[in-house]
Amino acid sequence: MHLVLAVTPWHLLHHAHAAAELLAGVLDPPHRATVHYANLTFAELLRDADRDDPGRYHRLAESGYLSGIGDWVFTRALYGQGDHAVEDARGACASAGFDWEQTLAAHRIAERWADLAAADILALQPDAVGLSTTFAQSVAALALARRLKRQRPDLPVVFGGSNCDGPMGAALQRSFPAEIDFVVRGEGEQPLRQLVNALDTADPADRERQLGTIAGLCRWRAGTQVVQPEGTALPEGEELRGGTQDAYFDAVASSEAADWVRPGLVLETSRGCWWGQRKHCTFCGLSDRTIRFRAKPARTASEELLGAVDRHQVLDVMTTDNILDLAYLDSLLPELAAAGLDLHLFYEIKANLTAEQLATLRAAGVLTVQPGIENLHSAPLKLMDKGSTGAMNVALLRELQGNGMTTMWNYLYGFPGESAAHYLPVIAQLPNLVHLLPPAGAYRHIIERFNPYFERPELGFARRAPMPWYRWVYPHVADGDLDDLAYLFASQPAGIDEVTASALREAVAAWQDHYHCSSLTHRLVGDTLTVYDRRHGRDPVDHRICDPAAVAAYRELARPHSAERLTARQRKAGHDIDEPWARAFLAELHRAGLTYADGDTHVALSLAHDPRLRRLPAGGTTLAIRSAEQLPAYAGSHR
Amino acid sequence: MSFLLTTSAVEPAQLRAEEWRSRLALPYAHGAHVRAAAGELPELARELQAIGGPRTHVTVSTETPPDAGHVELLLAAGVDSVQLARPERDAGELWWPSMIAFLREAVSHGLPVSWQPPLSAGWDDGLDVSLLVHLPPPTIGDGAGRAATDWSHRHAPGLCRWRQGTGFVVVLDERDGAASQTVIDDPVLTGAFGALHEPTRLAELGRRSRAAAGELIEAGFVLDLNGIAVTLPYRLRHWPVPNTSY
Repeated sequence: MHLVLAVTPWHLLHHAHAAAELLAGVLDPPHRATVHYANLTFAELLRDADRDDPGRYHRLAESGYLSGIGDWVFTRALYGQGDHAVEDARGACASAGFDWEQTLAAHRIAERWADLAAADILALQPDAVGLSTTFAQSVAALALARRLKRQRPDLPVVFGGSNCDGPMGAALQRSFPAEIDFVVRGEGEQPLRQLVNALDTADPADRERQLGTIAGLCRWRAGTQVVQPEGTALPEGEELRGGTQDAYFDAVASSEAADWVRPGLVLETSRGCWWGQRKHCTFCGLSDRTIRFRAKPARTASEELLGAVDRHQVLDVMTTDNILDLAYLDSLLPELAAAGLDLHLFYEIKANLTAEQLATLRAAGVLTVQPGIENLHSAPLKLMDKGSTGAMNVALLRELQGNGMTTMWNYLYGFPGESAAHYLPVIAQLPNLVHLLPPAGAYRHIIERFNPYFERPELGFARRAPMPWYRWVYPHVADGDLDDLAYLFASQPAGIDEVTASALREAVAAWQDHYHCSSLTHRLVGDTLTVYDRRHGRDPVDHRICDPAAVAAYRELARPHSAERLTARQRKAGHDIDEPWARAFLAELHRAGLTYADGDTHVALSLAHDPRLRRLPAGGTTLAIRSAEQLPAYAGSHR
Repeated sequence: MSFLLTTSAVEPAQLRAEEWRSRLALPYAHGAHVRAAAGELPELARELQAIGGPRTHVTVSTETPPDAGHVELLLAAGVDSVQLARPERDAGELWWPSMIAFLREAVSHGLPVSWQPPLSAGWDDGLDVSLLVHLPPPTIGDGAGRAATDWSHRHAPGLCRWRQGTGFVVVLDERDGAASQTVIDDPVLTGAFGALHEPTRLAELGRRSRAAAGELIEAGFVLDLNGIAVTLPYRLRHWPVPNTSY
């Protein structure tokens, strides 16, 4: 059998579809698979419509999910009755900051895309087609499936991906029975291999028997939906393999998008989350079924990464991992550092890595990280079960800045149990953090299927409903099915009110505006420590600390300490100080804006002086013409 | 009791060339402006490192640019910036290739440099400034001329940089306003690209290397200055924060 795995919009343009590429390699011979990048076709059509704006695809792909606009763009192509739900979409565009005329143009172009993509796929003469649905890919996939089934009613169409996990895939198939023959749920290697073998079986009874053994499969039998239970077996780390990514690089090379896309590599070195296994962050949408952490052996990860770099001659690597395997700090990362390459890796990390561990990451070429900072006050972080504190997060921001590493993070609020008292002290201190990389924004967190807030209504979100846009994107889907199909949910706001939230957003905006022109550094020369304060909004001053005990205490505050703990640490180091001394010291530093206070814990804010550190305006610059396509702005949640 | 002695930002002390050896031993909390000759830089770096790397700005009086290999030494010693004095007489055919090599390494390692072209009229004769706009432009003074002004206006960090891969290098070139990415993977070409980081007379190269240098000159990655060749892109060692558009 020849399986075509089609990648639909809004998959990002600058790297391969990791799942499709690896699934293409798991079929038993003589079956084969082709990965087809239909998303590039849509990017080309958008580019043709406005040649001065190559970033339009990227903007919609990045920001069109939560508002439903990404899915809405393809509703006209799916339903085929002219412009669809125009007033709802116009309102959503206004709220999300999208240009309405441009977005409406994309909505109309999408019909042509679906026709072209279907023709391209059928020209490959597939025996089955697989369509992945992650984030805002569902409606595009349905529009494509509708055309494929109209032209080849016998062609099996298989849906998979994150939007099919749990009850979502079954609901999607129930709602679109003519478009979806099968839904593969969960991690796809084994079920897809079994499905292709079954589809190639001529004997109907044997085929039926084989289909019945595939864990998690949704299918039709005599017009009735069969939803098979998802299995519990998951591939171990040793069994995980990556794809070649050849299909992606070939597709880009033969696409007009090559003019404005700088392709990068994508690599999976682990699945699941070792922290989530212990404590599932209350807002994290990783499914409990797949949260068990499994990492590739470092040797495999290294061979795949360096092999892909060599094969495709590309040095930018995005990993899909939810969290870095700490064992890699002693294996994979030193090996990459020793290779002497100018890599740029992206990893999601836990926020409690030490300065030494971050230096190991940087030496290996990990230049961009998503540490899951989420908040700078310990109380909301505790409500999230993040396993970090506000002061730890500030120390992390400082260390990352000092290592020249870029941090992707959002400030999240809206957690049941939080109050203004957890935000007002932070807001008052944000001007002191202006030399550290600010968050992309401050946002009320959203309830996602599978996160503890969804699974356990008693945590504070007793009443919830699919985000309103699901209704106008899927007008024909029954209410019960819509509840099962949705991944994003709305509820009554919890936590801080809009007055406090607005103050937080304004403070973050000021932080973003003034980051690039601020610095706070220190140098120890002889016995004197000098702090050079060149932060925006202050007179430039130098602070000198000459007392040896005070110099030692300041350096100790690189890690968060209370007065009591600082005293104990300093006394242990041989400095004759007492707690009143420590309290007075901390108070003076804090008055000068040199520390961040999280309750009674303080952490120093200055970076070691380094003329090599260069800041650019937060939120992007015009240095690279193809900037918009290079790296996505990562959302605060995992998926 | 007060722990902090706070003052307005203090200008570093000014030290003349003959003073720095004796006075740098003092704890220069506010750093220093130091005048030194190019040949003294390694010794100055050692002295600075020994006392903890005070914030130091070095003005180098020199007829020839400092050795490009000194950039790392100066940074490790805590030097914040280097200012090169204007050469007062014609310093010979190696001046420009050496200056380009020094500027290239300074940018690569992140050492801020200011400099001035030679006094001689027509200093920019035969110099294609459009190939140099990724390097720090000369300080513009009165009568700097069109070349220096052009250079200054078109300069931006990051316009021409390279990265090391597995047996290949990637050059990212935006000097002419459009972004292009070139992969060099031919061993003879990568060899020449690396070797010409040190200014080299083309006539001294073997036949294959000379042909490779010719290709690199054609691509704008190597500059030929009257028969002396030098690599132009700088190695991307330090990324700005955020790096999302770099």
